[in-house]
Amino acid sequence: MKKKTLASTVLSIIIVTVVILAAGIRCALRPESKDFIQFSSTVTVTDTGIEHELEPIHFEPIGKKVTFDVEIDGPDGIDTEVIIHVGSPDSASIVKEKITGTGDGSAKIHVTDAEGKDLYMQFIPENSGSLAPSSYSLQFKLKGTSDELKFHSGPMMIAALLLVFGIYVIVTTNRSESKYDERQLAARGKAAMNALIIVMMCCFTYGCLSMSVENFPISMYEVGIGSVIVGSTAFAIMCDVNDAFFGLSERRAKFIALSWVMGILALFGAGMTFLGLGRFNEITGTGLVVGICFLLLAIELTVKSSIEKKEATDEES
Amino acid sequence: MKNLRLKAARAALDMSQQDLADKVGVSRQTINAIEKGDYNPTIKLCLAICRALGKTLDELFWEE
Repeated sequence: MKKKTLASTVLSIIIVTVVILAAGIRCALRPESKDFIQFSSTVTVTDTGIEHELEPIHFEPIGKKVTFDVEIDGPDGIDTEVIIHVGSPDSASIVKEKITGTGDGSAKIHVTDAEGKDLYMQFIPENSGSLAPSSYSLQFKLKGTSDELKFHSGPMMIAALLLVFGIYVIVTTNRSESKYDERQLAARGKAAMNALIIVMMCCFTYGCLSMSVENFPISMYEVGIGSVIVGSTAFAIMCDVNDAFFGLSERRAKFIALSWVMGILALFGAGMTFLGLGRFNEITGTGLVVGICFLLLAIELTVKSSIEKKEATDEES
Repeated sequence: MKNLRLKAARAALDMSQQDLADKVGVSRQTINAIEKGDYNPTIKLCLAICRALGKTLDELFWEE
């Protein structure tokens, strides 16, 4: 292996290792989140106030900062005060938050110095004045999230597998002899540069639009996959226009057939869910982009193939 | 500028573009591009073509 090839192989391996490990560690270290607590309670509205049997809920947080997500579902006329005590339910409260219009109320409650302390969460329902005396049911949903990070091995295992696969691909790609001649390599280099610009422009356009439009309808995932697919298709088409897509010993017909099949399958597959086969009810953005790109590539390859055949025949005659 | 001398030398040996391409290890389109003057080959490829056709660099690639 030449020195320059070896250097680019090592550099690629280092970059892939850093990127995959960083992503893996970021996913593996996540805040420890307690399970949801969900319960319901009946409150009775009387002429003098509200009678309830809501007991304080005890928490023993792991980290220093804790965030409670509280959701209360009940009649609109009931406001609920959420109070957090430290040490015992009778001690002075450290946080008070009022959830008004309980109909579909929610609140985020932050406790900043919770480490090693017993926290008690108390709910006090109040009649805002609009409810007639009767019994009403309240549904409570609680979720506590601490800032302490916990190591999850699952994402690291996936990252390790991807890393091994990535290194294998880099090493085998760089070790094999080039199947393209010098003109094709130059054309492929130019096409790769243009494809990179296209991918960057896709991402840049998404960044600008998503910042300026509220609730932008396209997700980051769709943009990532879509940009790569559009860039790859542009690369393939630019290469083929310059007779640099197929190597010296590659079969064109097999690839053209595969592109047609992939394009048609992706377009149909875009509208089918796993369980709802046969129903073209939902076209996903990514599937649509993949389908259109493969079809464009298939059309270009077919046209170029017929031109190529004509040129070869003319040259022989 | 078209390289008619290359085309003539190839035709004299009754070789097709594909035959010459196979002999020097490039694609047929590359030979076609050189003959049409669309591509300037490297000296390495020029030498390979000269060897394949039994000609010198001057005979095939030198412009008077």
